[in-house]
Amino acid sequence: MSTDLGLPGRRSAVEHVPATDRPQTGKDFTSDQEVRWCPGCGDYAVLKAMQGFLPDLGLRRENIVFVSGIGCSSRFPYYLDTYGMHSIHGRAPSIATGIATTRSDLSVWVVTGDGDALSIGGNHLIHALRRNVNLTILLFNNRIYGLTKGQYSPTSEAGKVTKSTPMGSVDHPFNPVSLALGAEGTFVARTIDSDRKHLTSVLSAAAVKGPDPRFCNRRRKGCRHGR
Amino acid sequence: MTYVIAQPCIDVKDRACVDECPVDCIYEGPRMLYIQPDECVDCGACEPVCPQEAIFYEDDLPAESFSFVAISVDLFAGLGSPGGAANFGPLTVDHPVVAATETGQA
Ligand code: SF4
Ligand code: SF4
Repeated sequence: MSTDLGLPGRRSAVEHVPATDRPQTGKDFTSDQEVRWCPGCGDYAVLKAMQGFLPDLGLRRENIVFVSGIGCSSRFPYYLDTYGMHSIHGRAPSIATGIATTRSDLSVWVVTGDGDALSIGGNHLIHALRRNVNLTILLFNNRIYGLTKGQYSPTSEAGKVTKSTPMGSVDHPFNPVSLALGAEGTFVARTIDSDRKHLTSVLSAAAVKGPDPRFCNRRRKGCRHGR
Repeated sequence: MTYVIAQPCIDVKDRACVDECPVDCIYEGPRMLYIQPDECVDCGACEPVCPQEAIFYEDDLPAESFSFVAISVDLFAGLGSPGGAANFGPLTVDHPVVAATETGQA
């Protein structure tokens, strides 16, 4: 036997988020923090694309929240002039679940990486997906633990050799898109940092299409430690 | 406005920067290379590889190179954002100021 829980439907992910009444530019979303990733890191391209795209979303800045975990990608919230939280390793989806379920007037984003989301926070990720929370999860997949100098990650290809993995990764990698589909994420997409147009189109589709949780696996071209 | 290539590139065009740029936003003119200011993501990968030390972050430009900010902006005001130098191919003309620079003067 099952019962109708009477949960409300939602037409768009930002249906309850107040729109801004003044024009915004990328500058409005740029914080005063010095951006610090390795020279050439794909994260710069994602940040630029996000700062270029958020004005088009047309929401009030104070109603946007970026929650990150730990890792290179998780520096993201510092560089955006929105609300944000650099949270606990692997637990960003859980913190974001709390925010999204208590505040339907916020556009809630999770920024995470392959290590943070698929290893340390693997369970948090799949349950956030299956619970159908109104969030957008951006997974920056560089297929390596870059911040800690190159240990193989859950998406490293089998046999990948790094300084700290001299014999090559012995595990089979996760396919993040299959994982998200397996957990019944309702919007799942993959894009790449070096293609600004495609990246922006995916961000914009992910931000508004619903209903719930939207998962973007952004494949990164180059991390210093994975070449 | 972001990273800028200045006069030491003129008539040298080493192109080391082109290989480094993750978003392919360094365009080649007949006499020098130019960074598309809207496409550059400020990653800083090009700056250390230039053997001419011709690339600067905008705020760090030496006084004699300030004009190259306007040169880049001007040049791409006409071209827009082509979305990738490799596909776009080389530019057929330089910015007039660059074209008028005498060899060796740079
Ligand atoms: S370690 Fe890799 S992911 Fe981290 S900032 Fe450097 S290039 Fe980017
Ligand atoms: S700073 Fe980065 S994105 Fe900009 S031109 Fe240099 S390599 Fe390309």
